[in-house]
Amino acid sequence: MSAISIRDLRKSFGTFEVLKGISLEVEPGELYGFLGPNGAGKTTTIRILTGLLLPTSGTVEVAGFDVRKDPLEVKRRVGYVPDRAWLYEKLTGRELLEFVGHLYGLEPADVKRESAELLDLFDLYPWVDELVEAYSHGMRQKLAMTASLLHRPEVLVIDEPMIGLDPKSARRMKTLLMGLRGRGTTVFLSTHTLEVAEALCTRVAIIQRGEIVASGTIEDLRRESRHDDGSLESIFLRLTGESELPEDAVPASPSGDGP
Amino acid sequence: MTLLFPRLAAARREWRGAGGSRAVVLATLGLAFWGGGYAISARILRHFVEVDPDLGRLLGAKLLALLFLMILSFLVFSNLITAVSQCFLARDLPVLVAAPVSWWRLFRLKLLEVATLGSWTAVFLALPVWVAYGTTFDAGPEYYLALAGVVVMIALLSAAVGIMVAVAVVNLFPARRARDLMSLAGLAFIVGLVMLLRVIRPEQFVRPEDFGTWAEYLVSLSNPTLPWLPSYWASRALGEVLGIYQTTSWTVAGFYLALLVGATLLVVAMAAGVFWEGFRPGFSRAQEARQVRWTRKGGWSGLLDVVSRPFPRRARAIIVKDATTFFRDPSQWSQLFLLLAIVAVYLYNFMVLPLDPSGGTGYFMRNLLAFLNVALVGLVATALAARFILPGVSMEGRTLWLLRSSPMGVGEILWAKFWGGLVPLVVLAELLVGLSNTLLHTTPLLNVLSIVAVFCLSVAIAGLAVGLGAAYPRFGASDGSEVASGYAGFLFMVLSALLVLVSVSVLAWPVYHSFQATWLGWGVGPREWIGLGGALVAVAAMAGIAVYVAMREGTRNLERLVEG
Repeated sequence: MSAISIRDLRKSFGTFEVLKGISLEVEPGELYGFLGPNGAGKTTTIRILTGLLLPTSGTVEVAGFDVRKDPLEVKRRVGYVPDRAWLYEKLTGRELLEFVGHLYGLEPADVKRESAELLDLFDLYPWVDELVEAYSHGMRQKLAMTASLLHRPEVLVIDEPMIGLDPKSARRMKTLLMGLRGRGTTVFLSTHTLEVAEALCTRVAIIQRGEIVASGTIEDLRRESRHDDGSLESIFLRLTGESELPEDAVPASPSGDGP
Repeated sequence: MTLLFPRLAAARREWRGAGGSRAVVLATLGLAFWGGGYAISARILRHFVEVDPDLGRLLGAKLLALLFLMILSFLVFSNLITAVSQCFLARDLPVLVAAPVSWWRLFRLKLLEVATLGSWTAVFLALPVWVAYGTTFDAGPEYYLALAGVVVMIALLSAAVGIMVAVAVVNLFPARRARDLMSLAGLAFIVGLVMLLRVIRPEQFVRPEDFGTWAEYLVSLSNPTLPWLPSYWASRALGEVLGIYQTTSWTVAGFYLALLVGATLLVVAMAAGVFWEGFRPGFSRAQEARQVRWTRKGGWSGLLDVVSRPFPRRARAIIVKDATTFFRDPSQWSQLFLLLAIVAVYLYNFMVLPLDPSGGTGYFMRNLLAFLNVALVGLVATALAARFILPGVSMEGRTLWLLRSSPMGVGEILWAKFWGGLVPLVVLAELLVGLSNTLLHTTPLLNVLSIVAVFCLSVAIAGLAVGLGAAYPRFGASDGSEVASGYAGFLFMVLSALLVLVSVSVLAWPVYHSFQATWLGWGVGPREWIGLGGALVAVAAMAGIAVYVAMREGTRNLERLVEG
């Protein structure tokens, strides 16, 4: 049984079709990268996987449950970290974790045990009794990540895991994701940071304008793009048809004569 | 205009998105309210003038002065609260402050925003009364022109006072103490309101027998009400234009108008000075994180733990979260002071009612008032629910993803919001009805009846508030009052008030028969008991239907959001 199974997924907002029949399978314990330019449909796919949106058509199964038929069963098994984690500003970090823990039916002792290691890993302990409104963007992301793992999800879905993180936290995030994979958690991550995908992901899919244009291991993509020794960035640019910005495309300074 | 563009564009989009049916509903309800308010006000004023033209004019002038006094005191408080949120807590501020916008442009924008947002409700409510004055005293277009000018001046003046006090206090008290500021404002308002009531003693004007002589009564009516306040200048100027003092004196009207305009310009200039000096440091301080205080641990969490214990774990988590975040947000809980002031004035009114506890008329009046009190408590509960329960779902805003991605159904989330809102509402409404009944020495029968009826109404009101709040959410709203003043708030107020009035009407007949039976010495027989029981069952059934329909609509709408 696949951890994530998407078949012919379509999603329209009014007359605008964002997802045009995408299909992919993610095996248990995989670290799967979902790449694509802005507006390609990554976040929409992720929101469908986490039950925040319903598909227009197609089938989406997570941990063996259909997101349309058994949304609560899916949510019990999924951890989710959005690209911008809006959290309750007037709760402390500790209270927020307790709150999320209760939503998943955890006892306070379980929340304490599960969060201890992560808070330590992300250097959040000194801040845990401060209101979230005092947290920086990166700290909020780390807190959201901690909250998403409290119930030990089978599948972790992360939208842009590295945004707002300092280099130390980014390194630790990578270690954490590798560790999760090691303990059998399936990780589905969407990212613009191609080095992260290259370093971490067992397989990747590239989505563009609502369609998957390539998928497989990095090696598969190299072959597919006929770019044998290229980096993921150059493969990505080639597959998505993006070319590098010409120098003369840089806007002139307001005075017109530049520095 | 550039700075106002985002707000205007958002408002236009909201109206367009609302569709034609919503506009029709709003227009109909608004017109009905205005029509009713106008009819009642015009009837009262005409009655005054018809009974005794001279005395009627004097009473009219006095009431106009009192109306402006009430409006001014409301506007000052409302603009102070609005000024704090618009100048220090609004979401657009970081962008505006970071942009190369001069302090003068920012001040003008904030003055306009505060004046509009803080004053439109009072103006909306008072408009039919002002128009009734115009038609009763055959006013020409100059009255309406002067009225428009006076309203703008009073709104600007209140906004300038609000901004001045907000900026000054934020700088005086380190602004992480925003709660101190708000509590100060709230306390000042309560003290001001109580003092105002004591100074004016409005009850005396309808009891001429309390005065030694008729002449004393007339003198008291003719005396200006707090002549050093702009509210008096406004009412005097309008009164003169109306010819309410027998003749129209343009000189006097011009003098008071000039006084009002001059005072407004002066206060606006002072507010600009205070804003120029104090806005930036105050804004900077307002960015500091607030320390968690008494809501952190110990007594607070213990209390919440006990209160929320009967509910399932997940509902309990939401109830505790909502209560904690509410009491940590000064812009939310400070409005409780307003509530306390309303409750104090409400109970005070019962204390000063001139009812003889032993006489037959007194007995009848006391019980009649206790019965009508059920409707009044219902309306107070409606106002409270509009401000504190209705915005619950909207206030989740961008954090809704946390709840929606958890294994909690939409219905479960809404019911948690319902229980979290119902408990304090029931406690407060029952407290209010219990205290009023005690002050009125009502019969045990009416006591029990009103307590049961108020319980049913509270359940219905909480359900309507949560359901309609979810059916018409405003996730972008910066605070609860913005939601309460929107479409959902309007619809909720009307439906809830209607439910209260229908429920009281259903109860009226059996209650009347029971009292008649008691009064005539027959005692309450089986027929009366069946009537009372049936009416209560009908009220409970209406409450149940209201909760069911509203919650179903709310759930459906939130589920539609998932459809995308």
